[in-house]
Amino acid sequence: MVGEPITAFEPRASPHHRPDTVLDGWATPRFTVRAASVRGYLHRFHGNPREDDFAVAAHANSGAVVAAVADGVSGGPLAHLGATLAGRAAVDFLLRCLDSGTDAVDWPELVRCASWSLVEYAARQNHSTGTSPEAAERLLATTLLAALVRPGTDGSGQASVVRVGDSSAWVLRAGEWCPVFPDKIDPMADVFTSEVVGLPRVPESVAAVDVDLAPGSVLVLGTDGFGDPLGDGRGEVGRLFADTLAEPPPALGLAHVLDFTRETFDDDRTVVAVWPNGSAPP
Amino acid sequence: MLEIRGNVLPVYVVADESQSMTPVVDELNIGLATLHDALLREPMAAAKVRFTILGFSDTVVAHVEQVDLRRESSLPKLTTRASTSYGAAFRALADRIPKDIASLKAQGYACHRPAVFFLTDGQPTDDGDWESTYDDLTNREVTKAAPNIIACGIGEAKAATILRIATRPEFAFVAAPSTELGLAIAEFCGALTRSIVASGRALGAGNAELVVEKPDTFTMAIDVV
Repeated sequence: MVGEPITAFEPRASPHHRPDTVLDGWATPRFTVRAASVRGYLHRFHGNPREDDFAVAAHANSGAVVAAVADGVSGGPLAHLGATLAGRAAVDFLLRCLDSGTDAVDWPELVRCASWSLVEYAARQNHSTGTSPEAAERLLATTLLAALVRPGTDGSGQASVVRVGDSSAWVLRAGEWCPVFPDKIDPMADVFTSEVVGLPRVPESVAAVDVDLAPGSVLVLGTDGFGDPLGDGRGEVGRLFADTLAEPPPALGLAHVLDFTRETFDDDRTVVAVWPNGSAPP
Repeated sequence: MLEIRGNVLPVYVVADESQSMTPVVDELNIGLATLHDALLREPMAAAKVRFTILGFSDTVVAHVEQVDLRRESSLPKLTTRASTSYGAAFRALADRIPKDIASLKAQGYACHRPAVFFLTDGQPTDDGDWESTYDDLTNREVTKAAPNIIACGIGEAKAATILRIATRPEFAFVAAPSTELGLAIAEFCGALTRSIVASGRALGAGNAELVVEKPDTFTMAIDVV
């Protein structure tokens, strides 16, 4: 609980095959990974599915970790599937890049591929005829944030992160949250809108941001359900997660903390955290 | 910015309390009580709403100001008084909204663009005087937190006037001429409830522009003009 809690209630079932919470946790010789996606209180209250999702995988030959978080845009009846499809498409794309041995990732192509996965899926729905990006947008629009984290030579990591929409990423080190992307909005402006751009719309320019992960730091990828209450990380939520992520917690522990209750913050929340292990390659 | 304490949506119900509303003011009060009950059943939407009721006639009376409806046992009753001064209503909003936003921000809240639900049963008695006040209120260069205005006209209200007041054509509703006034009021209150609940839901879901549901017996003003 942080501050004033949300009203207590028993969550309602979602009519979709969609768990309330999913989580993952594992380590490779070079990185440790924890991930959790929890259904927001509002979706629980109304029996709607969790519309966030993550995808994360290790690439054995390169020692890299690839990850994505996605937030289906509410209003799309299959937005939860959009998030899953886009995240998996992005991770699969990055794994293929690593398999090919290329150093350069075509990030705009990654976004186009993830978008097309939505269009193809929408076309397979029985009420759709042919491929229609418009139909895909209505059915399953989603944000997407994808990261490729390669091991450095000194036990560090180098991350490249790309995004469409308001999911975000931070490097957390010694309790300080350093955003990978500039602020999407200023919540203390007179009024703010959280209208969001999502796939299958592809922005005109798509470029990855590169960040270094020194040993002792952690790359945190999160949807806005996490980023909004986090703010700039200097408040209670920032301290809570700085403590939680100072060292890799038990996977269930991250999911538990991510499910914190604070009034008016009732969106789905997803976090993927990647720690460089600090060990140099053998 | 540190972190924000929460996201809130300031909602203003601005109701005509002119003499001609006398036959329907009871329905309006019942409708608002129903809205209150409905929001109590939607605690997460209610948590995000700060609710103000302004009655306007020749002057404006604030019946409740920036209340959290979960903490109110009942809403005060609207009454009827004299004329229909739109100017008084818009001046009250222009004066109040920036102060309300500043107060919420000082408490650590982030604010969504305020929503005004404007209900009238007649043409303004200060025709020609209210437009400039209205234009300043809705100009985002002048009023940074310029509200979205949903305008509903019943009785003698003309479609062109309602369209002028609504900040988007799809936010303008005019009761079909054959609609019984009590029913039109009930429809207004029902639409208001659904819009607030849906707006609260969309806020949390990361898509924050106002959702407005069209009441069954209302006709889009743009179709009537």
